[in-house]
Amino acid sequence: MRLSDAAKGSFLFVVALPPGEIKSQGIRLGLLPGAPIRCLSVLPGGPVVLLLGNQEIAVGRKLARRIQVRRWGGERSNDR
Amino acid sequence: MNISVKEKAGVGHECKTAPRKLALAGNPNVGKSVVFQALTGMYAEVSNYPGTTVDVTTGSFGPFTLIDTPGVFSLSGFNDEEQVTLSAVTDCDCILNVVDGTHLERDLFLTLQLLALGKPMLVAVNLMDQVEKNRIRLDLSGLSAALGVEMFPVSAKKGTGIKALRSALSAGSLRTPARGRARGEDPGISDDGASAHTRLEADRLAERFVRYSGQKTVFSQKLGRAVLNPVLGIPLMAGLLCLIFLFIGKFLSQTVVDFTEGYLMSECYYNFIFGLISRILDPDSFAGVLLIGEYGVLTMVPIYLLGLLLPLIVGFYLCLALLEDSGLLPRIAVLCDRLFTRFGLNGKAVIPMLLGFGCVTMAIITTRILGTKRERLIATVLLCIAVPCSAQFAIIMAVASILPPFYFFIYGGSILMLFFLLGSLLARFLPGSSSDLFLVLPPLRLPGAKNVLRKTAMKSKHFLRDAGPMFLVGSLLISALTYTGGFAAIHQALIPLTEGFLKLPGETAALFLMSIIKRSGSRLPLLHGGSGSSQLSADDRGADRDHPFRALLRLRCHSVQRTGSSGSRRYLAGQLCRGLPPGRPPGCLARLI
Repeated sequence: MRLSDAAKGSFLFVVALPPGEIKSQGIRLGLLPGAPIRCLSVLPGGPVVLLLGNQEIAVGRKLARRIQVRRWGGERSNDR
Repeated sequence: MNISVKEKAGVGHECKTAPRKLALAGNPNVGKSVVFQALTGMYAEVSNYPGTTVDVTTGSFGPFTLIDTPGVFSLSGFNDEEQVTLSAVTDCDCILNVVDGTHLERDLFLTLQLLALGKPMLVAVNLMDQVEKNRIRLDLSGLSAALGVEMFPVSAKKGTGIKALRSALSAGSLRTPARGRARGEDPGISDDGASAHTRLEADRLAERFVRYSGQKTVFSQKLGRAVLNPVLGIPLMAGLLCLIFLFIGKFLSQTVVDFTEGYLMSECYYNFIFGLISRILDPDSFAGVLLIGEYGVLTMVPIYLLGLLLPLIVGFYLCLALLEDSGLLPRIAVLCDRLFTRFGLNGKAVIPMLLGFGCVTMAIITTRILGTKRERLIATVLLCIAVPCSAQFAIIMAVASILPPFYFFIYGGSILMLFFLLGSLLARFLPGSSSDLFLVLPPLRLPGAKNVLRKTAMKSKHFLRDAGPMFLVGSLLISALTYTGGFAAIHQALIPLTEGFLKLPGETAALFLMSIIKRSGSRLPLLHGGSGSSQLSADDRGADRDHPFRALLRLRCHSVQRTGSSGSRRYLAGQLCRGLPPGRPPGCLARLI
């Protein structure tokens, strides 16, 4: 599912990042496919704040729509 | 200078103690500049927001020339900060890598890239006070052995560990890591595969040497997250901004300025300088008018710069420094992101917008932190047209202090509307794409007083240094015009317009003239299509200052000079208001200024 659809507080795994700068930036920080993250908050119509390790990262809404994640121990590739 | 050469078992040699270039490198917000300052004793720009420190700062410590670089997460050179850092570390002789002890696994990525350069290197692990507070355990000796470089636990804020760092540097004992150790990517190449490799290695190292002992969420983390909840965050942010406006707009711009400009400068200093110079020169002579006339170089310029603008500028930069160092600024950017996307920008644009209230010229320089040309252009236009700089703000406040608050709200409202309208139009019609927000959030911290004060002092100093010459030029120009009767002629010529049509006192003609000059001046950057920030040189943060359009932008500062020297911003405000027929809102007039 998309990161923008994640519920606040949910534990997730990164599935895919959109190609380009974000992917490169993400890799450096450890935001890679398979990385465990936690969705800390979703601002209405606004950015998603996630926790990667102990680093908080804010991701704009449009970008969050392009990041694929999977719920921890949950659904398989039900990418809507 | 003694040269000490000691052989360390198989790991490398020490760096000779001759004047060597030592580059400081590290992630954003790790306290790199605080370490720099602790070593050099010289002020360095310290920001808690990535992208703010774009220039490099140099200083000296013992046998070294220290070069402070912008905070970066990697050396791949894909943005300006990384390129600058890459050149600094490639050119230097040794490296001091500053890492954040509370985010070691994140920081080790850059450390590995730096190690791959094969230069003598030291690692300072900063924020050790926070490491203790968060109950994180670091096995620094183990990590040091694994990496092949010495690691120094430091708390730059508290001052601990600095002594050990200094003696290690003075002794020149920097180990050169064995080249093959870090299988990181070659710096300068943005290769995702190599990055992933380096990332994996960093994670493995962190796993071995960093222990988070059952750490529960610390208060500051809880607070940080609470602030991001819009229900709490937006009122909080609005409240903060109101507080800042009240502080600068009411307390500083009225109470303090009444004292500094109204009394200190306009009376004490003015009497002194007038008395002094009039003994040598005739006040009505050309030289006299230039120096101590109403717009004189020795009267108006210092009275305005020091009496009126300086308190506002200091207050403004103080507030900004507090916001930056506390970690609130990036969170404000997150809260504002949704709003800014309406204007084709993202939350990061909050920085240039805020800076614009201090000095629009400097704010336009900061638009470089925005991702695309389109965003830089939109931000620049909004800054030029819809954001009042401190000089304009001072005048506005003067007018506002005389009139009922209603008029100020009209002014504020019309500015906001202008901003929204313009921003939305630009977003709709300007081609190109804008970047999305991707922001690494630093933890909320109590700002360090020393740091905040130093940052404020430096930024204020730079403002005076930049604005000063233009004030000087303007003052000479206007004084000359006054002496030759030029202004009187302009007043006369425009009387049909000013007194006849607009029903304002004749003096406002000159005001309009100045604002026309200002506005044409500030249009020019649009021709460049954006901020066009120049290349940065290693030793001069002022290198940026010579960019041509900036000189023209400063013409807008001329607007403040029309008000004359005899404590007369109030006087002018009074004049303007008296000339108006009852009920006519002066907000539009203030906006013209």
